[in-house]
Amino acid sequence: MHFLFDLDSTITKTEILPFIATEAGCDKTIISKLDEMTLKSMNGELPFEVNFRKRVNMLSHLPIQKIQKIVSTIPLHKNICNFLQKYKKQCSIITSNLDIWIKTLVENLGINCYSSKAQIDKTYIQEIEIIRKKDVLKNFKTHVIAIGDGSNDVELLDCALIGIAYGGARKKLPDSLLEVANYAIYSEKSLCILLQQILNNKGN
Amino acid sequence: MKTSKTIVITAAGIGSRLGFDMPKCLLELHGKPIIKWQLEMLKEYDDIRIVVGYKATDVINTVLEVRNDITFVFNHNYKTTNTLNSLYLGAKYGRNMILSLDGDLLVHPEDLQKFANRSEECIGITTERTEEPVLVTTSVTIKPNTVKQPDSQVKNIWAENFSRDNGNFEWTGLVLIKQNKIKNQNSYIYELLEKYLPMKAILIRCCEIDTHNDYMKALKWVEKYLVV
Repeated sequence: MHFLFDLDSTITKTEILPFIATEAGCDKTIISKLDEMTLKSMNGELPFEVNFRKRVNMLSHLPIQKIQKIVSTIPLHKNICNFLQKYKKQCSIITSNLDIWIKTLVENLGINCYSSKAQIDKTYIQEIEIIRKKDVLKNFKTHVIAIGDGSNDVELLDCALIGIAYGGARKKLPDSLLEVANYAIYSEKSLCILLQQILNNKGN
Repeated sequence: MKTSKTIVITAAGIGSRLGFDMPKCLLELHGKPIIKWQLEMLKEYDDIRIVVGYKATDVINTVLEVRNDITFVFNHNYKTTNTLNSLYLGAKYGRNMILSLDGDLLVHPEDLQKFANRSEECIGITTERTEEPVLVTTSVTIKPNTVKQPDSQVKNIWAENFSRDNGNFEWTGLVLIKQNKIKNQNSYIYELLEKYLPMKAILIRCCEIDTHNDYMKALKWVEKYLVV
């Protein structure tokens, strides 16, 4: 049994890209544009990949190391992190976010991670390759429980044995996600109760 | 918080007989939908699952107005499956003891508390009559309460048989049962319970709404027992 956790708004309490923009002191118009694009992207109102590339471009002028530092300070869902720490070997992060941006955060958590990949020169991003979350499932011979909140999680939740739509940060989850999910949960405490029960009793 | 049981509220189906285009748990009585009346009575429980299907997001959004710690379980096949399937999905990965109730059942708060606090398996029965009842035939056993108080007695009612045609009580849909007994066999819940009879039966004051007359009665019932 393996648990795949989305990162933005599932493990973290907020979306990472707008957080980077805010903490890096970007222009207010850029922050609010990024906020809006992120929300629309998560809700599936804009196609994910093209939108993600645009959002990455809005931040690509920032030095990578600076971004890594900022991301490592983002507030996290405590109960979920406790679960991750307790069952490290049975958990992975699965995120569309860029490996190079979340590197420090992931190292701090000490969890295996599947993510989009960025090619860089010394300081800045050159090219990105966006992960297709569903494809990661091929790596597992065991049952997979997937937890996510965005339109980019729909395929993953659909194909996993158990798909959990998690609205801990945003109550409004995309309809397409609810359509394929087995569960919808809006508090991290309840999410952890269910995850623990899945681990303990394995269903009947 | 009470952490020994999983509560499963089944609210996936279409409440069609009333001509109400919403799951019946969203029917408002004195300004509050049934599901909110129910959740008010279950404040002390930390593992509540609501099984949703028809107009799931309406149920979810209504519940989120009062509580964010509910686990919603999807029965995407609500149109072609029976209530047992919803209960099965809701109870899966649940605790050892499951309390199940229908999303359209209003139970007297005291009776629900007492029922939920019980530790042995049992079903809730009533003298009320609805249109398509599941009837229960019962028996009674009487035994002295304790050695210290030999004069007082404990009267136990036992459900012996379920039937669509005859019986002296009606089943309310309320049941307390061990999680591992809930198997998915695409039938009604009472057909699963038949295997485990006799089960202890507890008299419950409750109110169910199937018809317009029931609805009018329910308004008075809510006024009498629930409106503070």
